[in-house]
Amino acid sequence: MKRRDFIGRTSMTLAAAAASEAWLTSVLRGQASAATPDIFGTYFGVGPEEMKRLLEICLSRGADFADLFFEHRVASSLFFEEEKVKAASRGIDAGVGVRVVKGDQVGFAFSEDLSMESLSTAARTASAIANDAAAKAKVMPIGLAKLKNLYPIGDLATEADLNRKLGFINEANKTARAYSPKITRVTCSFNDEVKYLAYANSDGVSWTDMQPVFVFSTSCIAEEGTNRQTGYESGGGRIGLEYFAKKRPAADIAREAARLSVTLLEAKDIEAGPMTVVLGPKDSGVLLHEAVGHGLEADFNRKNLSNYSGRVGQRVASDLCTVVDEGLFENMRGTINVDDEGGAPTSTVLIENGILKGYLHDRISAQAMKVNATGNGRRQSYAYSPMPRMTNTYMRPGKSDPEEILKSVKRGIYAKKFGGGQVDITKGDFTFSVNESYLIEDGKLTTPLKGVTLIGNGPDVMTKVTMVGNDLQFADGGWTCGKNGQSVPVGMGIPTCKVSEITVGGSKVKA
Amino acid sequence: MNDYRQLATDVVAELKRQGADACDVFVANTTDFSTEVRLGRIEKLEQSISKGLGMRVFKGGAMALTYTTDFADKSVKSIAAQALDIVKVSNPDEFNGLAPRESLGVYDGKLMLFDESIASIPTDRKIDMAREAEEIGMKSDKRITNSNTAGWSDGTYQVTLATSDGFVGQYRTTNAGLYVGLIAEEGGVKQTDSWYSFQRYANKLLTPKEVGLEAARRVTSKLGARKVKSQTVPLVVDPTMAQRMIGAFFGAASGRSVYRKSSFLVGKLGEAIASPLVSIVDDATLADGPGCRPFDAEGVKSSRVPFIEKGVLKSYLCDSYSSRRLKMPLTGTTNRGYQGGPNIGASNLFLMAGDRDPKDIIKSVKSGLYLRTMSAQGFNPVTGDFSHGATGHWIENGEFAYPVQEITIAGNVITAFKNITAVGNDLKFRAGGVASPTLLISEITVGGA
Repeated sequence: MKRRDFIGRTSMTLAAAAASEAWLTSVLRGQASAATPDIFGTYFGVGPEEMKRLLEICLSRGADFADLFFEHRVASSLFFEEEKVKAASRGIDAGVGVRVVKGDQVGFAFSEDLSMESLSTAARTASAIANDAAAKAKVMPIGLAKLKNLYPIGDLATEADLNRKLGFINEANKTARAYSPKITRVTCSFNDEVKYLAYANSDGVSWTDMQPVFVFSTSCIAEEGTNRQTGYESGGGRIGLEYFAKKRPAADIAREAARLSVTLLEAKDIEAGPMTVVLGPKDSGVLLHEAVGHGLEADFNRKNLSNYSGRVGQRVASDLCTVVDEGLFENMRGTINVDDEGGAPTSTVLIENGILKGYLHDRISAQAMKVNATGNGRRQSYAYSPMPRMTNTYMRPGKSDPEEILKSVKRGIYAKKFGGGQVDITKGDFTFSVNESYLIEDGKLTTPLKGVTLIGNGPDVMTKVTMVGNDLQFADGGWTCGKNGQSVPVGMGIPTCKVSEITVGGSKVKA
Repeated sequence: MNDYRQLATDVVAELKRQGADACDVFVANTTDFSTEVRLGRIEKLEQSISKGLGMRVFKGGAMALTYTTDFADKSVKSIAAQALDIVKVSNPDEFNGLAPRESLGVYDGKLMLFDESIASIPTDRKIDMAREAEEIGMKSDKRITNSNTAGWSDGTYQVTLATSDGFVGQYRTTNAGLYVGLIAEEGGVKQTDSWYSFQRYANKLLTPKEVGLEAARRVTSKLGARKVKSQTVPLVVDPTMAQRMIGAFFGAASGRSVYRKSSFLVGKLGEAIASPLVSIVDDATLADGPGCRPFDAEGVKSSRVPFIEKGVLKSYLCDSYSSRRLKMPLTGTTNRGYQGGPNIGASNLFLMAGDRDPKDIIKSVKSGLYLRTMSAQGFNPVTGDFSHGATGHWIENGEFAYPVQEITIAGNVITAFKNITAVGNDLKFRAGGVASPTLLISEITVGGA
């Protein structure tokens, strides 16, 4: 139960010193400063001396590594329905996570009280994981690294006047209601946050970062007689309010939600069983997240728990598939300037032309498997210790024209929008739920279909990818990945893909 | 120990002083301990003390919420001032407000909330229990080849609520849990499964041996799983999955979902929405239920709420807002975290036990599916339609013939619940306050090869 991995849309959550130095260098190579350098002083009132003292307590029982993760998160939201702002909300979560590592063993404690007394207690609690009087790890001198800023912000949502956010909500509400007389309810939410982070570890690595992220969403109900359907769409990323002018107007998000709810009024049942499925671009990246990404997180693999364990170098997908995890795309939801334990984000090729190339690592798994860390050590907040997580996961584009892909299907399903997915890491069996899909008949989209679940086995389905489009696009909106009780924002992208056969969970049986 | 009653009432006074028409203040503070072991080795030890304070402010009919984890006087006053600032962009809503005074109160009957004995369990003993569950599970069958972690966790959770109508209430609960995940392998195919026990009182937990053996039984029973053809068959629902299905009814009965028309139960009050064998209750006063509580997140005195009786939908589950709005009774069935306002949340939610032995239910099925797991997504709360990935056992002539995987089940929950033809006598709270006995649904669409 604890081990279920899922993804959903918000609103519906070392090999020794050498490798450690390698990532330190890549962090230091950055140019522009990601955040004001005084986050430590402004939000936490601690300096290098205090951090060194705390880290020394952490190592006092013989651990070989320790880190301090300071977080001050400001979050704001507006909830709008029935032409009214029903609730405005704002709050602050602040605390420090203290982690002590001995080999692959972790001691962890956190405190919301930032006094040296409370932090020292937390450090002593976490240090209890080690009991090795002979070990002599030392805290290195702490130097503040400069990070390259991958989320330049024009207009930080969390600090903006609420009336400006209300402007986007009003625009979306008006657009959705004007879309069709069948639209009977419109709900809009603006959820934004900014995290001021400060970090220091016993290797002497220290940085500060400001991580903003927002999700703007519209949900519509369309009615016709007793038939009632919902449509949902969201947009955002690690970007400011300039998103609406530069990337996508609020009206566009609203129109999409309205269109989906009205379209679903015509949706029909589909029979259960295996079918050819064409996955549309953008949101079908859920397939990669579930069928590939989770199974390649190295914590599962170093413990030999994943169906991909020990399969590096083997074929796990058709030769059309190259799958990458990359936390480096500017302003994208899964992007990070630095991972939550000081690792530089990278572009990690997971599958290249169908062959498994490697895993997603955090510090502990990289050390245990004696490879370089990939900068995927992420945590939900100060209250959790990091583990290997995806950032932005995507498939490189292929050569096929998306039209040609559709035309090649006599009868099948075109899947466009998804509610989420989940995977059994060990077996590799995944499911994902499709919110918008159409029947393909003789190469053309015909009837819209009621929500269905698609199920399959990771390598099996990836091997059945028979065409890959040239139209790679990234999903917008609030994809959130959950693992072992921790939620982190992620991004995903995929070109149009044809899978020769996936089992479709319809509610009819073929006559 | 900090006096959070005083803090909460002080903040209520501060909000009134700053101009709130009405307000409530909710404080949650927790202590948590957890450990994970794998293959006999400790992998993780975690310990924390945590707290948060949230306030809900009404002014001129509009509502705003703010929260903080910093309880310093300056921070709390600042967040109170922010509440009165941001409430200005909120719009008046005639149904906003606190719960009516006459509904407020603290249930004074006996409730098993806090187990003093948990604090005295030594850390070594907790680690040993996790180790024991893992070891017994792994040794019980040679096809079990790996462990996916065993763990122990325990904690305390204290709620303090004060409102501008003078309600002040506080209670604290304990929790403790033990779990183990195992991997079994046969013919090069791996399967994983787990078992667990979470309770408020440590003496109600399954023993490490029971947890380990059940995890082992479950994971080995999956070995050799195959697909089946798409077909319509009877479905026997394992209690762990039946409990998820009744959760869907609870959510759909929420007054908020109803006025938003985002529920398949809109317009169904007084109608048969399930078989006469089905009665579902949310009972916050069930003394030994793991979800019991003396009052809800609005300070409403706890009571027993039988919302589905003999298949008929008797009431929606209303917080004070939806109660005023729908003109229906307030049910006192809300939960809350410090970051948000009251929301519909189960206390002890259960489908009342029937009289059938679960073994007899399985025996009564000539050919059908026993549902063991289903995927989280795939339920549409507006229509009640569902389509889930599933695993389980194929039943032939009343017996488990072989395990099945990579299949789907799909249909509509009302149709499925109307088709319930047997309810088991095996009602038991295993992990938290939601429980159901084994159910038999006469037909369901299975999707497969």
